[in-house]
Amino acid sequence: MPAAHAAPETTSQARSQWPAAPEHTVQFYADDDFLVEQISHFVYDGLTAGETCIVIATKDHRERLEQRFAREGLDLIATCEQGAYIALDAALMLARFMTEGSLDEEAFRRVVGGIFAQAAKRPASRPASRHSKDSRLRHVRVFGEMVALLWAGSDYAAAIRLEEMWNELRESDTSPPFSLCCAYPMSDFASEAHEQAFRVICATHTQVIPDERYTALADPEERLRAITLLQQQASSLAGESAGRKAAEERVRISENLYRHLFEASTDGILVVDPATHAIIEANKGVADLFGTTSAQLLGRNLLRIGLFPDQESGEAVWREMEEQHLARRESLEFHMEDGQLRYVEFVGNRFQANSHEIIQCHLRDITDRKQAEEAQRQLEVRKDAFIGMASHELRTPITSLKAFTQVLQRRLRQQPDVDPQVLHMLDRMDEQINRQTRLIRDLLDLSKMQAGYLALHETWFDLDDLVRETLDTVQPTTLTHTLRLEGATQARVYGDRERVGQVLINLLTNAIKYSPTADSILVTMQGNREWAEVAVRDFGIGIAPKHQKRIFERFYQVDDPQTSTYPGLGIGLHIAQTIIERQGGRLWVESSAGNGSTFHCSLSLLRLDSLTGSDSHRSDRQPGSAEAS
Amino acid sequence: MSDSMSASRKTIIVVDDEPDIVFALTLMLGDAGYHVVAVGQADDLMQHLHSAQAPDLILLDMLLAGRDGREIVRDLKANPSTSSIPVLMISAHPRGAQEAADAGADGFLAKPIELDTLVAKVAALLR
Repeated sequence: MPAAHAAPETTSQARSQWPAAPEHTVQFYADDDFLVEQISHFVYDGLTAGETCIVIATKDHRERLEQRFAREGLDLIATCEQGAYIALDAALMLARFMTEGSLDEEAFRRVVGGIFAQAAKRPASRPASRHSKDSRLRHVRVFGEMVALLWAGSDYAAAIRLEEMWNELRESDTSPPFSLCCAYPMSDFASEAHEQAFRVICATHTQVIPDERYTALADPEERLRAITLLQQQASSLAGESAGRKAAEERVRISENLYRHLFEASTDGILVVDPATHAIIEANKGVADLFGTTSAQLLGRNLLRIGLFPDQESGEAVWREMEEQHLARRESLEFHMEDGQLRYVEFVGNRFQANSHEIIQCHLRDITDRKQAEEAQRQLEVRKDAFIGMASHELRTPITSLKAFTQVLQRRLRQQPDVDPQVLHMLDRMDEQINRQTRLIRDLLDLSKMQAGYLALHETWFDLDDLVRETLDTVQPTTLTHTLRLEGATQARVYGDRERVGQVLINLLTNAIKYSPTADSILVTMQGNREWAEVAVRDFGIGIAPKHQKRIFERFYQVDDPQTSTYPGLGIGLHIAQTIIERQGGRLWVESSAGNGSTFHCSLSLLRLDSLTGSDSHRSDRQPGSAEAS
Repeated sequence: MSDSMSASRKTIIVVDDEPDIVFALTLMLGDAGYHVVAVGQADDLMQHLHSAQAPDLILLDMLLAGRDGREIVRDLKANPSTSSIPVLMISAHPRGAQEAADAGADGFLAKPIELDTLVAKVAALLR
């Protein structure tokens, strides 16, 4: 090849790759142009040495090789006619000794060996190669791509076997001597999985020529740099590979851990295909919940396993999962396979897992909790019934006593010559009955507050009217105190009129009780647009600061050796404060020991829930009737 | 107190399953000049309404043994022959006023009953 051989260094570099002795060389390459260049040198050297050259290559490579020779002025037609250059198609050749996808060794020897024998017998125009086994035969030089075709088709075992068959043919006595060059694109060995096969390919050849990224380097120092760089890349790749393996191991451990958590979870977990509603995973927890096995749940439609009360509610849950990625149901009721009733809390999520959309549903068994709640509810119904019955039973005798006392009072007053002491005793009996009535009411109120259902019947009412009425009611019960009223609120208040009246009575009777030496109680009213306030002031013993907050506590008794002790249940102020606070108001005291006390009852005029203007009836809970007649 | 059965005397049926309360109410209303028919249970009330002349007013306890007074009021008010008879309910229920109004009663009195209040309410309902 004149052009290629023009520069002596290049020639020696190029030639040095092609050994004089019959070899089985492998040429790796990165770029087709490089391969064609190399093979052109390989063939040209052979032609120059008088050898017969056979090229078994792809159509593309053969054409490019011929174009390369044409550019260099080689008369390829004449060379062919002389039998010095034989071009064969790699795929067609391969087909001649491949039977049903496997190599037929006998056919290989027959076909390839036959061609080589013919090629070697070509009349010599020059002395035969010194390496010839038979001096009458020409040396044959072969470039073959059949192994590369097998490799590219991923038939690695066949490619390696064919390499071995080439070697067997070279060593056989029946074959003329030949040098063989195979070529593989380096890109076919890019995967780590090819490492072992690559070693075998190298081992089946007597000489291995790296691809152009190394062989193109003329300077030995550059080659050393390239080797060093490759070593660095190799170790870096090895490190990367180890890192990837470690990461894969972590993923595997993590998957195992997830699998374990999935299986061991006492919560039921279902994984569902968003496209079909089909259950694709079901753990033991969910199988236990339904009283079945995981296998029996797989493939079933989530919306048709009886979890949702009807198709419509199941579809509503599904829509929420699709549109909001989350659906939650506090309590779902369903029956197990054996008919047993179960309650579950349901949470369904839609999310991406490994680029797939999935739906995961968690089912928590809340049957025990629901049963406990039901038991508690029944207990409350019984408590409610008890309070009602207690109210009835306690008030019935009082009702009779009160009625008879009043009949007696009336009848005796109509008679002449009645002993005034008898009338006085009846009045006292009447008053004591009233007191007993209040005590019973307070105890029942307390029970209801503790049970959480003190009912309020709220309406709009005139606060000033209520205060005046209450004073009129309480004034006759005291002979010692005058109840004085100052100011006005002119407020219409939204609240429970009867309960507010009850609080005012409590404050007034307390004021009388705790100011035994005084002769008046002062009630003042004031207000603005937001608040209406009623203050009840006594001029009695007062309350020490340490007791002032605590007197609103349940059962709290002021027990102070410095002052007289007043008996009582210690619940009146607690009830009063609860009633006022339940209506959004405040009840507090200002006092100092010895200077009397002022109880302030303040009611809000800004009640959002009153804007409707209608009366309402509310309680903390909604049990049945709390009390009976 | 008069024993004369004048045509102007109004008749009140008192229904309560507590005999002392029935007795006391009878005395109270009798002293006020009314003709009182005392009834201890719901069935007796129904029987009386069928057999005798309609009363001018019924004083009815809210919780009777065997039957809820609120149900009785609903039945009375649903029946054209009794719907015009005023019913005054009595109860120890603190929310009795609301319960009675909901059931359709014409008035309500809380137990224990104040004599003056009773007489005033009855008079108002009979006007």
